[in-house]
Amino acid sequence: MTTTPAPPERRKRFYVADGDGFVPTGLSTSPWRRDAQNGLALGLMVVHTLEARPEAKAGKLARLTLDILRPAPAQLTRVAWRVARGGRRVRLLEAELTAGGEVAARASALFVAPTGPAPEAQPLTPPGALPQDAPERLIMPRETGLLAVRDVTRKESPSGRQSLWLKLTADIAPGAPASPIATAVAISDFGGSTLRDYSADWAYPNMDIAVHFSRTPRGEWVHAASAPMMLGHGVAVVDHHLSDLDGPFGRAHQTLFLSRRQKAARA
Amino acid sequence: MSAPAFFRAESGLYHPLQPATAPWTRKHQNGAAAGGLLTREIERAPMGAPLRLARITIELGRATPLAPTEARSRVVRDGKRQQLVEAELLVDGEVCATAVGLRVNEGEAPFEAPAPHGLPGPDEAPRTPLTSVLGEGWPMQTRVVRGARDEAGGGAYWTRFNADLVEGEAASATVRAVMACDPAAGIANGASRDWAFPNIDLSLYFARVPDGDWILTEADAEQFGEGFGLISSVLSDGEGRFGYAHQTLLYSKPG
Repeated sequence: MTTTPAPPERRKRFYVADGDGFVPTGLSTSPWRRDAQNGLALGLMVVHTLEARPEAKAGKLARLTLDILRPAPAQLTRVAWRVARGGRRVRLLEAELTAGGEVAARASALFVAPTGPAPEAQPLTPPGALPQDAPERLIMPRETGLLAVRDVTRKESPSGRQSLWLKLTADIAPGAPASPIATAVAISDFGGSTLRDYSADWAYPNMDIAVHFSRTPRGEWVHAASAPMMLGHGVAVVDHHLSDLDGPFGRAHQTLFLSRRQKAARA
Repeated sequence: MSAPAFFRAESGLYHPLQPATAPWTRKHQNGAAAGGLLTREIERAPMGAPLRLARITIELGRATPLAPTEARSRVVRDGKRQQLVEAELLVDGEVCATAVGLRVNEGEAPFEAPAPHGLPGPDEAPRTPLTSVLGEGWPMQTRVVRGARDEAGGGAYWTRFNADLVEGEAASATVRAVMACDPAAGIANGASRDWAFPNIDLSLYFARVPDGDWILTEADAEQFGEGFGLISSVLSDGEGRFGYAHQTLLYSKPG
């Protein structure tokens, strides 16, 4: 699991800057359509542009939601954030992501700026297993820019939750490594991996990601303990419990749309 | 004499009644009332195919005054498989609370039995009020089955409403689920009761449409000294678990 970081100029990246926008690289390609961007990359770009805002420095992110409205073409991508509601202690930002000039996704971010004293913190309990405990179980090729390590599958887990660690080895854009919040949003896009036992017969893309924070995450590694709630009604709602190496920092959900795969007709 | 209600609809406005009062200020609407009205507005939005609510995100960061309220909605993205709808509440022309709802169609999917909650049913637990306004008996009945109001740690409670949201109209189970989990901070708040901790948002995620009168909210709070906290709830009806809810709490010392 020990990897020597590449020098900054040689690190891979999901996007390259182009004027006031970003052009996706091969790392951002959708697994379903070569001419579209994948949802994980869109989430990274949303966080990258959000963290450049002054509100991100003045407050703490409490919630981030992303809705993908249509496939985002693999073309020049821009994210325009605006303050939808600006109070002293609570700020709501909303964004439209355009790709190739078309609106492809919407996002919202809720920031809080608490004033005065805070209650005494609850104790943090680190996750039971650490990423180095399961170095053999990469679930994505290294060329994807992701170190995604599953140490426990749902079947192996007494709680029925898959255990997954994620670290980004590629930058979002040149000189812009993924922040802990960006990594948290990225791992929240992995809900489909909880339905791998159904993958022969079902497709299950997601069109949304919602992340709720109880504190600011830290470090390069993020952990998700994840399970779907699937009650036979067209969707599965994935429930992610998020932690960093110090302990829990939030929850996330995805709505997965189930549809039967078309069986290839035999010649 | 009609049933008691949170709002009376009159001349295109919703007039808040006593059950809609906020516990913190008494000059504003509580989250159950405002959240319920926003959810109802999203459910009333036009749709081209049968759809049901899968996710709703409600912003309560700005208090809605206890005054005649306008509710309106707008379809942001329309489709047969999914639809995104925005709703807002206005008082005197000013936007106070907003919501975004994701509606999806009822397709097929495998069924996995959810883990049982393992808690007593609503008839097996004592009647206990959760907040000073939403008391036991009227306008909502509550049965605490895990934890207690003044204890640290999380808890769980059953809720049944015996007041309408809008006078003379039966609220949907989806609307009642939103209203039921809003007072979760009464039992799970991550701090002692000498703190104020209003929730500034409320988000729900539905794996199916809930059913029946009673809703169970199993709530736990995380708070790590940054001045805000997160309530995470698992929601059930009489048939079992059907969804999740979250609330962001903002802590302050009153006075």
